[in-house]
Amino acid sequence: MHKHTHYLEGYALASPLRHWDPSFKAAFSMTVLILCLWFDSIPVSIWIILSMAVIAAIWGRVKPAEYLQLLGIPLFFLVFGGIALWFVTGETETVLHVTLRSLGAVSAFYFLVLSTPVSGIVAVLNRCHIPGLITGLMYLLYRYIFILLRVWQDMHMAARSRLGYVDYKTSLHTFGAVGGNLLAASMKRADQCYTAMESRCFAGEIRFLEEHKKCSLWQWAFGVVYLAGVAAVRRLWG
Amino acid sequence: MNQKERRLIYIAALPAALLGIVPKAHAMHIMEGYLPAGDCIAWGVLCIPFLLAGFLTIRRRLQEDGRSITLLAMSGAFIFVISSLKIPSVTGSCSHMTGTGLGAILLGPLSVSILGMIVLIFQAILLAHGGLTSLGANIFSMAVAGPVFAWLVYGLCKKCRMNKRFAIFLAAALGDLLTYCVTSVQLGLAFPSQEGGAALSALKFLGVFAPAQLPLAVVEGILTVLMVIGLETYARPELNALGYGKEEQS
Amino acid sequence: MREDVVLCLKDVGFAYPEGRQALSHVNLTVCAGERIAVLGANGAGKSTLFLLMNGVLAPSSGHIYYKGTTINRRNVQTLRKGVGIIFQDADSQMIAPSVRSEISFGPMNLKLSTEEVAARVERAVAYMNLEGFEERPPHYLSGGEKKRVSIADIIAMEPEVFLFDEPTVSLDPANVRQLEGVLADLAGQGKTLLISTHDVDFACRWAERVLVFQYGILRADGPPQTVFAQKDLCEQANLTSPVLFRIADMLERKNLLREKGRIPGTVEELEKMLGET
Repeated sequence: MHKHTHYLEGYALASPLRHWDPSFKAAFSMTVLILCLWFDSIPVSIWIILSMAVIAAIWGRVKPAEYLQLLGIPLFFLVFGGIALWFVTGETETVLHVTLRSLGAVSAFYFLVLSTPVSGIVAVLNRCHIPGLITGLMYLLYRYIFILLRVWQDMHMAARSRLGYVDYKTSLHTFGAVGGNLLAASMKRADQCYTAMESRCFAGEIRFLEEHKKCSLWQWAFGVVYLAGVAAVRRLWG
Repeated sequence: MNQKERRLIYIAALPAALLGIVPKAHAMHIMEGYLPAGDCIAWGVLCIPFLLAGFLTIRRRLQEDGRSITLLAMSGAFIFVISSLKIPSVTGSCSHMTGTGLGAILLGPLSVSILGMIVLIFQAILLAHGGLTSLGANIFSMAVAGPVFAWLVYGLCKKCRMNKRFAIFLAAALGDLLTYCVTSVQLGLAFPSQEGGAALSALKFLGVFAPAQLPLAVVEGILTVLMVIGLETYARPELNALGYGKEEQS
Repeated sequence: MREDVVLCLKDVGFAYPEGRQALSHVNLTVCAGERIAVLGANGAGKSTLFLLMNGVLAPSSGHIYYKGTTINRRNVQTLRKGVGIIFQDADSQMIAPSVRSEISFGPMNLKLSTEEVAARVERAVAYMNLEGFEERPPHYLSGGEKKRVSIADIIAMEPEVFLFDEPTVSLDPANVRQLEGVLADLAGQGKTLLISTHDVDFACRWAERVLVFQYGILRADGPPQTVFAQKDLCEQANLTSPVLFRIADMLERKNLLREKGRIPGTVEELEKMLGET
C-alpha cells in the first residue's frame, strides 16, 4: 500500500495539518511564496527556509532527516542550475541569492503540499471558480496516473523477464514498445472508465461532496504572526 | 576570476557534461522561485490566450462527444507517467521524455496546452518538479511552445509527403529542442549578462544545456515514433477516436 | 404484467457498432427481490446484458421496461437510477481522489441535497465497513478495499436492482465471504440481485434462478436444480457441472443415496439424501 510514498502526497495523507482548511493553507502558502519572490532578499529567504522547517518538524511531524531529503529534491536541481547560472553570469552572489530564494519558495510551497492531499488542493481550485471542466480533468488525470503506473509496472516486469533491457539498443526499443502498449491499453481503458461513470448517471459535470473544514482563530493568528515575522525580518535585515 | 579563466573552466566542463554528469533530468522545469516575480507574471500572462484557446477546444470536443473526457484525461496521465520514467541511457544519467510532442501529434497543440498545464501542476505537487510561481514559464515552454512547434513541423512534413514515421520523429525531436531553447531564453531574460544583455545570457544557457538536450531530443523523437507505432498496431479505433486517424483518412 | 416486476426485456437484441451481434431475441422478466445468477462463457453476452439493463446501452431491437414503463432515450436516467452495476474492475470504476468523494459521486449525480448526499455517504461507509478510509485515495487501497468502495458507491445511490459483474474474480476467500454477507444483507432488504459469474458452485449455492447465455441467446432460465440437470445444455454452453451435482450423480450411480432423483442445492441437503448405511 505504501508504494507511492516517494510522492509528496504520502506526507499530506499522514500530516496532522491535513485537518486545517485547505483554502487557508493555500492562501497562506501562496502569500509567503509571493513575499519570498517580492522581497527577494537573502535574510528573508533564510528566515522562511528555517521557520518552515521548524513548522514541518513540530506541527507537521515530518522527521528532520526526511525533511532534509525532501529539500534535497530542489537542491539537486539548484546545484546544477546554479552551476549553469554561474557559468553564464559569473556572479557568485547572484547564484547564492537565487538559490536561497528558490529554497525559500520551495519551503513555502512544501507547507501546502506536505499538509494537503490532492483532493483538498483541487477542492480549493473549485472554490476559486476554476472551470469545472478543468478540475474534472484534474480529478480524472490524477486517478489515472496511478492506474497507468500499475499497468506500466506489470509490463516493465514482463519485458524485463524477457531480457528486454539487456543492452542499450534493446532497452530503448523495449521502452518505446512498452510505452506504446501502455498508451494503447490506456486508450481502451478510458472507454471502460467512461461507461462506469455513465452507469452512475454522469451527465457531464464531475462533482463530489464538498468538505468544509473549519478555519479556527488560532490558525488565522498563526498566519498573521508569521507574515508579520517575515515583514519584520525584511525591515530589520533587508 | 577573469574572462580567460572563466572560459577555460567552461570548456573543461563541457566533457563532463557530455559524459552525462550534468543530468538534465526531468526535461526543462524551472524551479520554484528561480524566476523573479515580474518574469513569473509575464510568462503567465503570455500563456493565457493559448490556455483559453485550449479550454474552448476541449469544451467543444466534449460537446461533440462526451466520452472523450476520459480519453483526454488518460492521455494527460500518460504524459505524466511517461515523463516520470527514466529513459534507458548509456551513461547512467537520469533522462526523461516530455511526451508533449506525442500529445501534440495525437491531440493537437491546443488540447495539449491544457493537459500539459495539469501535468505540470501535478508534477509540482507530487514530485516537486517545477513549481507554482514558475508554472507560467514552464507552461509556455513545455505545454505551449514545444507542442505548437511539434505540430507545425508535423503538418509541414505531411504536406511535403515526407515518410510519416520520419515526420513524427522530426516533430517530436524539434518540439523538444524548441522547449529547451525557450527555457534558455526565459532564463536569459531573467538573468541578463552585463555585457550582452539577455541575448548573450540566453545563448550561454543554450550552450550549457546543449550537450544533454541535443541527444535527448533525438531519443525523444525515436521513442515517440515507437509509441505511435505501438498505438497504431494495437489501438486503431481509439486512435481514430482521438482524431488522429481521421487526418490520415482524409 | 405482475405488480412486482422490476425489469422486463422483450425480444431485446444488441449489435455493437463494428457489427458483432452480442444479444438476440432476449425475453426476460425480473421480479423484485429475486436472486439471479447469469452464466455463460466469455463473450456470451452477460456484460452486454448488464449494460442494457442499466441503460448505458440502448437495445438495437426490442424494448426494455422498468417498473412497467418503456425505457427510451428521454427517460433512460430513471433506469440508471434504479439499476446499479458494480463492475468487475473496481479500478476502472473509481474516479475520485478520496473514498468519501468517490462514494458521493453517484448521489451527487442524482441532484440530491448536500445533506442527503452526506447522509447517504455516511450510511454506505458504515454499511461496507469503510470507517477510517474516508480520506484515502484509491491507490492506497488494497484490492478487497477497492471492491468494497465500488459497492459502497452503488449502495449510496440506493437502486432497486444491483448488477454484479463477476464480483468474486480477484478476491481472496475472506473477501468473497464478506461479499456473500453483503449480498445476503441486500437480499434481506428486498433488493433484486443479478450476478454474472463463471463460478457454477456459487450460483448453485446462492441463486434461486439461473440464466444461461450462449452466443448472445438465452438458452436456459430456471432454478439451478432444473438448469444444471440439463447436462447437454451445460456442456454446449461451456459450463462445468456444480461439484455437488457431480458428487450426487456419482453417489446415485453407486446406489449410496437414500433419496434419488433429487438434486441437492447445499452440502446439508446432500447429507440428508445420503441416509444411513
